[in-house]
Amino acid sequence: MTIARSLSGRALLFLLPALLCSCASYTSETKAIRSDFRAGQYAGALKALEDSDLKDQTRNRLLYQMEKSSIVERLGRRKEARALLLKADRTVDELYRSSLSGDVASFVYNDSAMDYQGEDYEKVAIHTMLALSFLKDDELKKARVEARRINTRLTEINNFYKENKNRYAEDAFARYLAGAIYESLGEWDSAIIEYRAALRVYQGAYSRYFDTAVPGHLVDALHALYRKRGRTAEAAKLSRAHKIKTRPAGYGDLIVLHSLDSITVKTTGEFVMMWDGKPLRFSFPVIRRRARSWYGRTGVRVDGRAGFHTGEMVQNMDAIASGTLEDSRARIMVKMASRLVLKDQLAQQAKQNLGGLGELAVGIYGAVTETADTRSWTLLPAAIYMTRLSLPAGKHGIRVVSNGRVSGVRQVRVTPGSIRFLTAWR
Amino acid sequence: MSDKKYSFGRVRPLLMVAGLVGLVGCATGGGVYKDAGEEQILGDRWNNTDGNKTAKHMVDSILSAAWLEEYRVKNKGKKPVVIVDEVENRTDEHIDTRALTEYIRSNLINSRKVRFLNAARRKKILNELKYQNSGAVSADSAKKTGRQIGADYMIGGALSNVVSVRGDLKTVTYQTDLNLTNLETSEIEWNGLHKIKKAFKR
Repeated sequence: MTIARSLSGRALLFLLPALLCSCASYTSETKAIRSDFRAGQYAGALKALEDSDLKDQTRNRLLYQMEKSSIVERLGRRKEARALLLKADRTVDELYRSSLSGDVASFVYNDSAMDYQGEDYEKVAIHTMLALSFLKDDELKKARVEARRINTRLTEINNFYKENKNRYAEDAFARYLAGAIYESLGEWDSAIIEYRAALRVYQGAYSRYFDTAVPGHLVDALHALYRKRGRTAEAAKLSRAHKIKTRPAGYGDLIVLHSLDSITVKTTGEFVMMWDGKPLRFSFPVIRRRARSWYGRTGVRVDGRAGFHTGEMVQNMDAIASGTLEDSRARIMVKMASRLVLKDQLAQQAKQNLGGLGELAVGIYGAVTETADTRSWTLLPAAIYMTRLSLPAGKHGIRVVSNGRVSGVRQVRVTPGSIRFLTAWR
Repeated sequence: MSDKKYSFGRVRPLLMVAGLVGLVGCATGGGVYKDAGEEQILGDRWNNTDGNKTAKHMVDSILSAAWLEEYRVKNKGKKPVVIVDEVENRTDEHIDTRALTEYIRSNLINSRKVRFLNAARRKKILNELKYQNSGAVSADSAKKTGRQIGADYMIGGALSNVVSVRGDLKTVTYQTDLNLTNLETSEIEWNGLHKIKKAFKR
């Protein structure tokens, strides 16, 4: 009787962590934040974030910084948003150096115990989001710093993998944006380098995996710069491969960047499998891709005229997130299998030493804690569209429209040979 | 009984790991945000020390270069009049290069070897002069227009960096490139280059 009492008391120690934790997935824990964000209730989204456990979880500090930056940017507190993103950038570097303890924990608990280090596309998005924020404030020189940083981060990512076979190894949109920033500052050669890199990536991985074709205006911009720099052979080669729309002399460019909604989130996929006569529960992250039609039609109207200038998709974040998850699927499954074996060994040891109750307790612990790691920067846009127009010098009324709804109305002054940026979101 | 206790002892470490991990990993666990990285981060980014070192090198170089003596000889011992343009930030870090230019300017002024014009305040100075000569200010105290001094030289340049990562080793090289341009002839009469290389194990 004493032994049984002692054992059940000890078994409770096994149960304690499981009982204390609801261990809900990140996606379900942050649902309220996302629904407020999507409804345009940004103050509510911020409150939900600040009231959540995320704020105090050291292992999720990167997520907290990134998610919060997305909300405060929408609240118009752009300096604060940028400060958070710059902090997130430092956190990415800092996390590179740490997280071993989390790795150990992830083998007896689940992957969510690890420090969230950010997916490669999120590390680059820190800089594209910063650049967009600076462009919204017409701070071109600060946006250029981000253009440089994009290059540094992408080089780092590719140096990290000796042979990077991941679908996302380069970022065509980040390159295109960097090129446009350089071009707007009159740094033609740097712009050409970035535009060429963007073109190469759009033609490769982006067309193949991410449902994003080469934007026509990228080719036009590269062609115009080749001609400006007297690189006639390269200009001719480009015009042989693509249909080029030349920019009229004395016109300036307007680039409208339109962020759509928020990225599709990871959900939990589960299955049960019999192993050694016992059921094993597998829980893993899944991303359900959206149909292309979901993104709708986005573009701009100029000066109240009837013509609609349709934007082109330049970044399909949904597809990149999904592709990135697919690339890590095998690693996640192998790790999960190792963890389940370890948890089973723990249960066997508990059975030997503590009897059936011990095995049951460890079994419950194992099952409850086996939750898919669905963490990601969930407030990133689902996609970014770009409309690039050549307009005659002077003032123009720009109306940004997506799926029939107006996302923004602005007056812009275009000067010959210049580039103006406009950002909007749906 | 004692056997059971011994057996429990063997499981205890595993149990403790599982328990601790559970507590740490679950939603109720947590910690406080600290700027733990700040000190380290300060190291692999541009900081005040880098700015001061660069500025000191540039000031020493500019004051010991031949242009200064040549100007004096040509202009009967007069001091050259200089303005400082902004140092362009071409790095991949958000650096306020005004601190660098202010350090250079203050050290050049204090050397008493050159004269400085306040180029940054020209617009405000002009507005003030306009006001003083608008009739609102007594004629004997109003400063006259047309008496400002034209600069002989302009100092300007850029700060850039190159980042290379090999495995765990990150190297950042900052290069500051400043030049002194003769405003009459557009000739660059002095050029200063300063490099700072930092290597870090990530």
